[in-house]
Amino acid sequence: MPKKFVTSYTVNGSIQNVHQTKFYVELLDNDQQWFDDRIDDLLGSSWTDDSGKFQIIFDDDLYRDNWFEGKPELFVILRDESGKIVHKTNTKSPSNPNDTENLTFDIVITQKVTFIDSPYDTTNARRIAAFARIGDSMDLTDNIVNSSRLLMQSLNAWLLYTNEAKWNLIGYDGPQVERYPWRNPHSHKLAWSED
Amino acid sequence: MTNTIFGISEFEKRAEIYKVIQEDIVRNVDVCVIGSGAAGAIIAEKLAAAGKSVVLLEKGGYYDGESMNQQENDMISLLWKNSGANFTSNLKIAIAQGSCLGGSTVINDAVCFRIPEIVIKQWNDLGVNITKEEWDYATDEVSARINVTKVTDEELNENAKKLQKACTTIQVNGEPITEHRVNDRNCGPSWTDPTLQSCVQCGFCHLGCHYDTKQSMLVTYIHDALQSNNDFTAYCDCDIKKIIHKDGIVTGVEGSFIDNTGNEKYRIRVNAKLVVVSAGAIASSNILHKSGVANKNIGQGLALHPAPFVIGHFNEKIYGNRGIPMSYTCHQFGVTNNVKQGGFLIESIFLPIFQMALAIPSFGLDHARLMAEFNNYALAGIMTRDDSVGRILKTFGDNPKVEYELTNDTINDMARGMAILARMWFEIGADYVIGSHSDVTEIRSAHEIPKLEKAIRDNPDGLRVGSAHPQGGNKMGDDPEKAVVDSNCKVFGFKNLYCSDASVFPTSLGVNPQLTVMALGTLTADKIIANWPSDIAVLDSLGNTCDLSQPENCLTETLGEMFAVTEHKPELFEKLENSESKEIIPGDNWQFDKNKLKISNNLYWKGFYGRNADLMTTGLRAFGGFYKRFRKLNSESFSGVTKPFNVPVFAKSLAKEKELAGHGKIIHLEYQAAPFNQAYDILKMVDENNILGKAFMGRYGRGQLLFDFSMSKIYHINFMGEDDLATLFYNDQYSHTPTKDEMIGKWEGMLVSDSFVTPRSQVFDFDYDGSGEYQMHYNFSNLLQGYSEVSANEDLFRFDDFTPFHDELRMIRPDFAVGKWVINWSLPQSSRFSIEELQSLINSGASTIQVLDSIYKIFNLRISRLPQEIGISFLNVENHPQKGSRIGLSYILRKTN
Repeated sequence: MPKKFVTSYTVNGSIQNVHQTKFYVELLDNDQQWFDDRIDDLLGSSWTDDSGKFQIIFDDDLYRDNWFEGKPELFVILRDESGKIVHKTNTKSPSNPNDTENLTFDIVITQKVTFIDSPYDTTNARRIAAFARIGDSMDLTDNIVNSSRLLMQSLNAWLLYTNEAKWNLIGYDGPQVERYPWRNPHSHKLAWSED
Repeated sequence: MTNTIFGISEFEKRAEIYKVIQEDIVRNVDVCVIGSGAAGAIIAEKLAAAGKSVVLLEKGGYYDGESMNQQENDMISLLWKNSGANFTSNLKIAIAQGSCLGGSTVINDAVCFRIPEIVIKQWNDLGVNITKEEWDYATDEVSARINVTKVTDEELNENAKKLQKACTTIQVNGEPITEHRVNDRNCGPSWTDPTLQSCVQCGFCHLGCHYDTKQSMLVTYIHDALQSNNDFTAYCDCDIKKIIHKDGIVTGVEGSFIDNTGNEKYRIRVNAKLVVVSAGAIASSNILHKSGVANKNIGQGLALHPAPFVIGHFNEKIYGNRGIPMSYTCHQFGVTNNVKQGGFLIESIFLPIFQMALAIPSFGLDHARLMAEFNNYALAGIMTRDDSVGRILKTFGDNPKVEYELTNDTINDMARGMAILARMWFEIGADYVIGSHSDVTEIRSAHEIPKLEKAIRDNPDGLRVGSAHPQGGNKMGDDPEKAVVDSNCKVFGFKNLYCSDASVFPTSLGVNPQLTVMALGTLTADKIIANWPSDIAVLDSLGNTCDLSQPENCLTETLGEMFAVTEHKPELFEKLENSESKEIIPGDNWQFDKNKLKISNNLYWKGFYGRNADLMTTGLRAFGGFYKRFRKLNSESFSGVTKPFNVPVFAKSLAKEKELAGHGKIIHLEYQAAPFNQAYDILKMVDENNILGKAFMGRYGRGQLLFDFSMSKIYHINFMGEDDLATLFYNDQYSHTPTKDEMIGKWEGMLVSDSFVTPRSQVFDFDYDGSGEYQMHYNFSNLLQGYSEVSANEDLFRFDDFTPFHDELRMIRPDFAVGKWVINWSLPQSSRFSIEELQSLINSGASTIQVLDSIYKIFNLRISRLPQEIGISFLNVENHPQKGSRIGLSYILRKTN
């Protein structure tokens, strides 16, 4: 049996984060990125020490799937103590396959959670969920005429009178703040008080 | 210290400190308050200030002033209960309630009336032991904090001035109207914009106050609690599932954090010494119903303050939308003018354009024509003091169902009030009047007013009526037979459960209720502090939340997360082994904890998928259940078998501990024969009863992850299988045949398969009817309802329906039973029937019953030949050496009241 030559790589890193210092670090090879993290391409893992540093040593046979596989494309996933992924780095490779000692990941975490910007984006989803929720609390069949009338008038009101063009036609003042008030500094004066 | 609001919605710009919930939560505290409205917020803040640790749970989200943009389309969906789609069950009355942090105080029109003296007296007569002095001190305390002041003359808008003018102009029965005045309101300095000292008068109060000048609970008591050093946390987007209680002691609350589409994301369990329900009328009754609080008065006696309106059209621009919407009231005909029964207030009010379009009772071109005159309208409402005739029921889907019909007295009050208001508008120069009745939309002169009155009395269904003040459902009083709570707002029969909000009002109040609810909250908090139940300890329970010790409650992604950071415990490797016997031996390899309702099963490791509600995971849970069984092979390995419950597959495997890069020490489960050897599992034993696992396809160590799972030897009955149920059912040490009286009450049933225990699939209600006949009413998912005939003796509790199947029940404990819906045991060969015999029976003109009986016998013959495992998850076949075979469904029953 031919002798198998194995090269060991050493990856060092440190994490700066104002909220926490203890992380579980997973080192992965990116060679099958289509499968994202569902592929078992973990090369190693480690908890950070008290100063946020870590070291992971791995052998190249863990990432070499094919003969054409050259140097590893490494990235790091950080998990908090409960296992939640809090950060994922970009990929990094050694300058050449023989450079096995100088791989470092110095990670600075600035933002833990990505927020959406507007609470209004989910208006229609809320409305559909609301109708689903009231589902079995209405006796719709008791008064078909009343139910149908209510539905038609609601649709009519919603289609026509949530429309700014219609407001202008009628001369309705409308809201006194812009749709996304927090985005820009704005006055708290009313249109009619400035007349 | 600054306290935090937690919620699901990921919206960054918040005035208060806010964090997004990313996992299940378990809290052990002194007090859990449900609902953050007029009473709940005050109770939570005051108890926190008194040194108690407090968790406040709110179903709606947290939205600050800056996110309140005055757009009806956005704000009604965001701040109103059910996105505004909140009606009585007959759709005749729309009910406006808040569903956001701060509750209805965020969306009301800031009207403040003290509780009328006449109401205090009436409530005293009904057994409410709260004195005028107590109401006064509580109202004064609240009024100081929310800055209750009078609307100034300068602040009256043109709409309110029209009502003021009408009140001074009109005479009723030859007498002038003497009781009319400006309202008190709760407005004051904005904490977010120091340049604003009082109301901006934008007119959008009920879409939330953008300027934070309306002194709602959000910017007063909740803000104070958040800014304090007291132990206070608010959780938003939290739908209460149930209050946990036993023998009159409440131990905690369980809820789900729901996303915008109403789906559960995470769970919360609050273990508390004391629980206060302040979710508002309707919701509070629903929570008590869902929690199985056994009091027949819950949900009874609902009042709504139903309010029709009358619009006057004037030949001048009024711009009623500009300025304070509700600032002037005519008290002449109401409780505030000593009217003892019924009566009404005439209140100035105006609506933004979308709600006005909903309110005007016409359609098409007529509607468009009337809406075009929006700026020329004066509007006021007739807020009636109605009778408490409504009731709140709990539907099959656990929703509150509000049944309410206007009484003749209330209809007469409405007719009279609308007629007076219509005359008022005409007397001060209105061209025409629009009444909220579909039969008489417009009236052109005062002479036509009787037409409107007649239409209201003849066809009250034609009225367009709104309500913003639901009250009652959990009445207060001194008689447990007639009331739900006592005068301290403590729920009868409980030591540490309180309910305090408008739901406890014994009658309709007759005035806008927010100040009275706030005063009641103040009184409740003070009484709780004075009567603190010091002998109650906090029960440390995880409930149904995800934890390493009960991974069957975890989301799939959480299973993966826990797997990553949890180390396998090599010292437990020996514990992988299951019992030698492959059959359940009660008391040996199978045990049941009656108190905790937990099964300990060492026959095998039962597998669990995540609790996710997506289609794929739900399908896996329902039909892809499995177990793994291990026997020791040698000191380093176990032979194993993986068995899907519903497929005749036995996948043999070898389990060995190994080191795996990135994972550390794990158990490698290597499948030994094709095609299963294309896959492998890695397992981590986290304690002696629980294993976390990952299933892969491909080469060991480099495979593709298929799914995360867990396995346990101890699991709650909510995760039991058919063999577990059969063991409980057929063993006298665990169950007995109940008597009819033991079964009286409502029970919810969940179907049991080996893979899965379903959500509630049926409700059984056992009781005696009016004639003393024992009966059982069933409801299967709202699709099938009816009555079954019950026969019970000491050997068998059985009930029959119209099918060849019948039910058999065994009781485990007073609130938990197991049942089977089965056909009779297969018959002896001589009694079996053939298709040919059935045809000849039909041809001979046999009765329907004879035909059905023969079909049953044929069916019975066929199923007796079915193998035990028939590939359909929920159907199971029982074989008995003497009795033969039978097919059926198994289920568990839990008592709900």
